[in-house]
Amino acid sequence: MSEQTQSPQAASSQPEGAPADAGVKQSHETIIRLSHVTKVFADPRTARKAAKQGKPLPKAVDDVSVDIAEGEIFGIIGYSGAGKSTLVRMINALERPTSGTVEVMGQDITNLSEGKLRPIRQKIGMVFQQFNLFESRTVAGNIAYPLVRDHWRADYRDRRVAELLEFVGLTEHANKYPSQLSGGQKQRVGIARALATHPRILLADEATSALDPETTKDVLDLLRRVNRQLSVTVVLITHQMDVIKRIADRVLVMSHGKAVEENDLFSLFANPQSPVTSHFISTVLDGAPSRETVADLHRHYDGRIITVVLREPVPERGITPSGQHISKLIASSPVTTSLLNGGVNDVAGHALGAITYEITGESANVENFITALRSDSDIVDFGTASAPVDYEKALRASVFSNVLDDPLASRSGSGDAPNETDTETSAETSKTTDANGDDKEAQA
Amino acid sequence: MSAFIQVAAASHFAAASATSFAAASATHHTAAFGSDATTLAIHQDWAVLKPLFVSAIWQTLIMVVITLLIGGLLGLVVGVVLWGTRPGGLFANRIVYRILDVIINIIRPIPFIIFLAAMQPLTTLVIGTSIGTTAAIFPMVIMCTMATARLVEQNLVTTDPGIIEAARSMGVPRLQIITTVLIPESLAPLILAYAFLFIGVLDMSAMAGYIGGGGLGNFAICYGYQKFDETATWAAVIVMIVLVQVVQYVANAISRRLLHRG
Repeated sequence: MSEQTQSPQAASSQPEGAPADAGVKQSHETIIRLSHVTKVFADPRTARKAAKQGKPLPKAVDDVSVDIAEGEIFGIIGYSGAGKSTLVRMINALERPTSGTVEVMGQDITNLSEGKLRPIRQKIGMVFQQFNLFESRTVAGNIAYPLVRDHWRADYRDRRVAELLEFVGLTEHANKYPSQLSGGQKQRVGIARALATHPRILLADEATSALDPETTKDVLDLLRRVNRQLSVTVVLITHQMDVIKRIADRVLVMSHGKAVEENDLFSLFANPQSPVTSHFISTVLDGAPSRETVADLHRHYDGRIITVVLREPVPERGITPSGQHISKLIASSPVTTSLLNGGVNDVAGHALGAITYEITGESANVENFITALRSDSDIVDFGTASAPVDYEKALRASVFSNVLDDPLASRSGSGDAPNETDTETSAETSKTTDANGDDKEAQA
Repeated sequence: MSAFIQVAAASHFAAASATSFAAASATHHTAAFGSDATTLAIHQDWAVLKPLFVSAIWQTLIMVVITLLIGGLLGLVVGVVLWGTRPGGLFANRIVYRILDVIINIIRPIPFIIFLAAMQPLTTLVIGTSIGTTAAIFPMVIMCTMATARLVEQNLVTTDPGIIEAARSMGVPRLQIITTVLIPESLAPLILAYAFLFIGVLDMSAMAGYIGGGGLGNFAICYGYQKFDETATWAAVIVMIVLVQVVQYVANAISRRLLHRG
């Protein structure tokens, strides 16, 4: 997944007006800064009720601080109701924080009046899950709308609309109405409309959640082009981990209004710190065997069953290697191994996965083999068929210990929709997921 | 019996300010009564009723059109204000919303015929008289404004809040959002709502006949019901049905075009 390469042809077709050096410019200047923002939806009736019961009002966003750098694709993931939509709406002041400050493009917008927000909102495009196109206007009319409201001269406007239509690949649909378009085409119109006034930031609110997997890919590719070619900072909210995995540079995980974890994409996947993150990761990572898979393997194979984590090292991010020399070790050890199950994923250009082996041989040799493996790899030891290690105990004794606390159990009674992640993930990853792994059988 | 008819007819013609004709017609009827009143009425009255009928159609159209223009426009404004000030709206304002809501809820349930009578002092104050077509239009406009406001509000509430949010995210000022997004996006259902209102206003105009407003309603009562001339009644009814059909057909056609369901 080489995000860094961009064909020159593609770059030259960028709409006029975008910076000429629109390559991979990732300045580390902060373009959006949310400081300790909290949002309480105080509709008077619930406020009175809460006051009567002496309970604090539920916080949609609870003390979140985050800095988003210019030029990056910043992903925010969480279950529905996690507060991510509210958080992203603070960036263009569609929602005002109850406390905390919002700084965008160097300006404190926390208490800015609607009138004064106007120039700032014109520099922040937004696309929506349900597209929110104007049904009474044509495709071209939708894209032209923000330009008309901004008093562009008609000839400039027409040229800009034509440019944007070409950029999103809808030139031949200019005079159609939204109702005549497919979901993917509608979202392209939404993106073109959001880009009309040359924004520096694009907010994508579940922009692909209403689309099928194939269209999701196309729209995400388009968002990446927006980011790389037009140097637009993209803030993307989603509940689909494969969306994050596909395009995000950095990720914020939210749960119950709180920022749970923030990291670059590979570090998040390679070294998740919270059960919520682990659960999201398990929806897209292949290889980690589920409880059922392990039980199945024990039924069919007598030998020692171990899972080896495959992880490319990224020293500058503190990511240690795992499973990098396993082939050499197998070749040089007096044990027999058979590959039972596994999968490797490409995350931010690095390999990440897990492989499960059956190891047979003399018990001393097997022990030596496992000790040698443990010295440079993360492994999970599930024991043998006659002496199996309990699934949870095995995981707890491994690097996966922080992954184990079942996020579904811990979130009970929260009103969240735990299974939502599963219903809409793309085909390549859609499968029922266990809290700790997936059910995809024996890929190897 | 014949004396009764004379009195009734005479009083009505006086109200319709066609006194010279009234005398002739009354005499004619009294003479014809006893042999075959209905048949004679049809054959011999139509020549004199025809110009009255035509002018009744015009009076109705004038009342309805003026009421719809003024009341429809005022109602649109009040309806948009209701939509905008409701909780969570673009201009959310509990007090304004509550006040308008209560006023509409007070006026709307009053039967129009009673409302006409109740409004008489105010009508006299504003128009200078409480009798005649112009005087009828005043209470009609008020009632129409209230009905329109409610209908407009109901139709706007169903507008997708997402498109309003999209326009806000572009930095479009709120008043422009109303004129360039809200109204155009909900135009199709609004036009159907106005077609519905047309029928309501036509109904009101018929009752306005009672205060000398004239029009088809008055015609049907005076020359049809009270003179036992079913033809006159049905002539008025048929014209009203045709009017409604035409208006509904046109409104359907326009709103279908606006919907762009391709």
